[in-house]
Amino acid sequence: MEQLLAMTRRQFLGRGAAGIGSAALASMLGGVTSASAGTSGAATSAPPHYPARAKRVIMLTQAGAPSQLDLLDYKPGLIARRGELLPDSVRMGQRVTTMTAGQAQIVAPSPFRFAQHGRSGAWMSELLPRTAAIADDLCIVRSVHTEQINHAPAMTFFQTGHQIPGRPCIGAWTVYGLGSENRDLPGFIVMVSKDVARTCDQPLYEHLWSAGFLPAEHQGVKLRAGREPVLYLPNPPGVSRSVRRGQLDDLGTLNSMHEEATGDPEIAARVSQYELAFRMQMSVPQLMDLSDEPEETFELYGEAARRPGSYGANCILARRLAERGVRFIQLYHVGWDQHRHLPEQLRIQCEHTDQASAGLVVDLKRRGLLDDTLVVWGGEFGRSPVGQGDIETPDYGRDHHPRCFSVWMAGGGVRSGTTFGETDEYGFNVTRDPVHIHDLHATLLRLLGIDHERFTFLSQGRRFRLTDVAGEVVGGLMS
Amino acid sequence: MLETLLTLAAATILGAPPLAGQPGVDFDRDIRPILSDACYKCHGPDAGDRKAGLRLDLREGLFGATRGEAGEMAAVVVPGSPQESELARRVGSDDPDERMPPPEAARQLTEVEVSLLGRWIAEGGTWSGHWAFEPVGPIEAPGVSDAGWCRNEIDRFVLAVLEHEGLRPAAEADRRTFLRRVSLDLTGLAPSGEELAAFLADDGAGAYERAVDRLLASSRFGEHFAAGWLDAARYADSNGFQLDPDRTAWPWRDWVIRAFNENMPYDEFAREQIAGDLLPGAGESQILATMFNRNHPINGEGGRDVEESRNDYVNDRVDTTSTVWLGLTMACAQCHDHKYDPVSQKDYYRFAAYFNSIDEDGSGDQGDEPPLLEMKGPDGGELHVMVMRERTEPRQTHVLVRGAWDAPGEAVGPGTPERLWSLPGAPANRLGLAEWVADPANPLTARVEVNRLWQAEFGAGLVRTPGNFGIQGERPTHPELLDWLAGEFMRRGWDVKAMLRLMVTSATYRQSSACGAALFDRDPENRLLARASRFRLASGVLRDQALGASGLLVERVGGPPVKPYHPAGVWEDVSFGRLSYAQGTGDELYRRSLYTFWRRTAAPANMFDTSMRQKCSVRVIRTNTPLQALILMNDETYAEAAAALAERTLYGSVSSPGASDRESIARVFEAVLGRPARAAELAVLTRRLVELRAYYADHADEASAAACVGERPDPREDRRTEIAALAGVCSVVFNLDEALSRE
Repeated sequence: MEQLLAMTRRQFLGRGAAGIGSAALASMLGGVTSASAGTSGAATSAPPHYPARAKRVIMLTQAGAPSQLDLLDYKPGLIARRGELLPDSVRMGQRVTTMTAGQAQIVAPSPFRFAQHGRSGAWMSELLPRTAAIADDLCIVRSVHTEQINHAPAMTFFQTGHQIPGRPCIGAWTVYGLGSENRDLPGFIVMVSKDVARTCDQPLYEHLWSAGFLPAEHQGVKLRAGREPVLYLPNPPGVSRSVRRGQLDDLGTLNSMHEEATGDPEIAARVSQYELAFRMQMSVPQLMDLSDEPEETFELYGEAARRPGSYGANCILARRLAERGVRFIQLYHVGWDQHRHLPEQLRIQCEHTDQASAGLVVDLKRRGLLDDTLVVWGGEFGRSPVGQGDIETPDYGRDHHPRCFSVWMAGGGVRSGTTFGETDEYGFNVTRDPVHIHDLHATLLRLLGIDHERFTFLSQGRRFRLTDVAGEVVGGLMS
Repeated sequence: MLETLLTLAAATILGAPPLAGQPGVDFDRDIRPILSDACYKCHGPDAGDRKAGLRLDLREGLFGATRGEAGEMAAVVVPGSPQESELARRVGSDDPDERMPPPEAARQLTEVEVSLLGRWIAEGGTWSGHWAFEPVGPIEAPGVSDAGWCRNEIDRFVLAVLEHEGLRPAAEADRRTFLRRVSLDLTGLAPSGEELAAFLADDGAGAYERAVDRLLASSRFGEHFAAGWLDAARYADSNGFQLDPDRTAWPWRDWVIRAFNENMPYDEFAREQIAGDLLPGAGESQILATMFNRNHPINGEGGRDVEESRNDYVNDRVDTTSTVWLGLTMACAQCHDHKYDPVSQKDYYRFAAYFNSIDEDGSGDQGDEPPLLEMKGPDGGELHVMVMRERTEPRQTHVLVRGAWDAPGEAVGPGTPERLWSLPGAPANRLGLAEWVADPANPLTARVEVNRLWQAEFGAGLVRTPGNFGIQGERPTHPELLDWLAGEFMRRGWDVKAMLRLMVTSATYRQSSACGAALFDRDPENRLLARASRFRLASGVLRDQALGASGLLVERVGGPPVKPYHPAGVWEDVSFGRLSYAQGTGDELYRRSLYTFWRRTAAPANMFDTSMRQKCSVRVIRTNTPLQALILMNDETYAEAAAALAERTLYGSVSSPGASDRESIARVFEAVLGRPARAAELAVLTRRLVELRAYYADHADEASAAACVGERPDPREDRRTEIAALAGVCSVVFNLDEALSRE
């Protein structure tokens, strides 16, 4: 007991970096908040609060907002209403962006064919043939909603539970709570891809994978294609791995002399981070090198996955990261903002992503990883049943729509073969089982064994949660 | 049991009284924090969430009545009688229907807290206001046994606590350590060899004070303090968001440097930045100062409602102004009354009204959005800088229902929070706000600023929540010292340099940081100040230090931002190829870090633990990650600094030809750490140098690559092996924990 008391939060955090995760820290502290001990502190009550159904998360974020009405939320009734004005009784004062505020709100049905798939009979459009083939592994949520109607605040909300940048994202919260299972790689990895056809890109900001007020070691580490997959990973010119090894040996020796002189335990923590950096110099390139993947991998994920930095390549990397025990794997694929040219551009987007998304689920499943890996696919909001531009031409598109959109989930603890939630005949409002982003977050955390209400961090005197002051776990999404 | 012991351990470190056997539970120190943290959520200032009409944040509520067990009215607290006090009964009840906080509440009371509440009532239940909202009163430095240790009043406050804890201050740091420490703390740069030699040679009385005065007079001082202010003021050279267009913010940055260097009194510093444009006879400099309130991000995203964006900017100004000057978390009152502090939602929008009437339209499609100040640039060209300027027709401000920009409620006019203090006669505009902030009767302004100055010099504030002096913020480790400093600050005419001088010439500051593991265990966060804190330097300071030690640093105060080394593709990645980083040349690569171009969507990649410049940030961030190690060993900046230091050591103007390996390494140590190398250190690194020399002799291409890294002129071919080998050692020295730390 004496020894435990002598160990301090700072030491814990220092050593945490060397192997003991924050989760272990919090549980060793017996759930004590550091309200009395510091400006910021460990979770009020240390996770896991429940048996975890999922050990890790792969988020397949489709940035720009995929049109749910053309992919997952089938509305055959709109065909008969094509060209009609959207009734005010349906719109109920919903804002639109200033891009369509000045035009008539004309109903535009989906030009794509839908069919039912799998034993579950899930409706999906012809644009997603591979996803359709795994329908029975999916839980399709058609009733997700948000308040934000512009990309930056909506994506920030989806990631952090708040529309203004500055709070920690769900990936940072997760690794903060559960720690890492791989001592050679960061616990939270981010990858970004764009399609080659250059559809409507929305920029992605670093704050989307920031740790906010959580300790910065929990921020997402971005992997990039090319020689420098992590910034500053390669040694500088003329410094070989053997030279570096020698330097680190000396650094360790001299630093431990200094630790003896000062008594500061932080020095040992620093040495361990330098050693982790050295191991990452090996582990990251090994991770990124797909040359050891058999042919069938590319048959599964698609030929495009051979191109480094493509969505397909990133999906393969996601599986490799999952195999290595990385806790939170965040993919972004941009180009889903179809204000115009929707019929053509949406088809391109799907061609670039459908096979890889589905391939990842299939791959995880056959390797026995799907049981404890949670896969989430979706954008930051939805798109409107109303056309933007002239719907009689192929140039038309759809404006943003926050009141309902579709997300699918698969794996760890998710109720597979389910379609959850309903929208009205226009696909405009949720009519059954609404799932707010906060609810989705609460549910994701629950699957990870975390009670979103007890999972807090004290920052500048206030206890913050990912779910702010809201959020309900949605039982219907869990098996 | 464990919980109890840990709480006690924490309480002892904080200087709170132990649980039993000692008199003196103090309401503000011991009781209000418990009530606030565990009870205010439902029984606090927020009328919207208040349960049973009971509020414990007000004296009247705490000593008033509530509904008791059988529905009868019962006294919440009866001074002296826990038995008759409903509060004590409810927090101690085993009945889940009775117990408070209710069993489902996330925040439960610990046994220690329950017993403290009981003890407080039993001891008479005295009440006092929240310390930070009480006036800064006159305070005498306490008496101490060892008065001979004290150099000024600060030390008497610190020593009194140490004597109470049975601790002795650490020994004085040696002169070299002191000079490096104070140079880094005041100017962000380590002393040069000449500066160090001059200090070591000055054995007259007042040598320390002379060194401090030299540093305070240096233009480096203003640069260093400006860097911290840029974080607080969310300074950036671009707008952020979708297109992230560049903006002209650097003239304001230079204004801040000038203000610090000219030692502008802090009240004036506040007045000019908040309302310089409204000051009588406002000149260009006063108007420029108001860019403080335009440094927020601007969202020019297509399709966005401009009024929504404009409201975001107003809210950002409320958040920044209240945090930076007042340590108040007003942002918490945007959607509902503040849960803890006496700030209502209506107060929030009255405060917002100060910032709601400038001529901006919220569209944000250009870099510099009106209102703009036209200025002459350094090359005679025109500059347009965003500033504050009132509209002729003021905009009506409304309380926004649940904070939603498109749900206006009651109309309100500008005003300061009603339940804090007021300044009668101040005009109802930003100038009035500025006068209220800078008013000596304002209990927060001076406390918040001396705390930030203390944080800059000691590594952590006396209040460890520099952005929250409210009820949920931390209490000061040394409350009397904080108040004495705040009083002294105002008595000395808000003289920033004078306060810093006082701090760094104290015996407290001059202590050694090497104290042995026992004291680290007893007081890991150094709340008692029985030693000097040692901590890792800010990333910008680390870069400046490497440039300084290697002789690459180009010192020139102010001017447009520069683009030093940056990994390829970062800007392109974030903007999908729309923006590309055009690296600077020559001097631009070697300017101090605060001049580096700050793109809001992609911060400089080799800066870490900094504010992201998305919103106001006043906290210190010090983490330890592998990414930092990668930067410090692999970034071209540091690789070139290592090579340049090696070249300078071996072949520079002051090098001694034919120096031995030991001599070379000793010189590297002096250059980076400002101290001679010890024999054991020399032994380790000499062995390394010999090995590296042999390696590079066999690998001429690698030697050449290592010696010629960066854009500085390549060294002569016959020198490259030697330079590469010593550069390998320099890189080790740059990365020693001692080099990364302020000792």
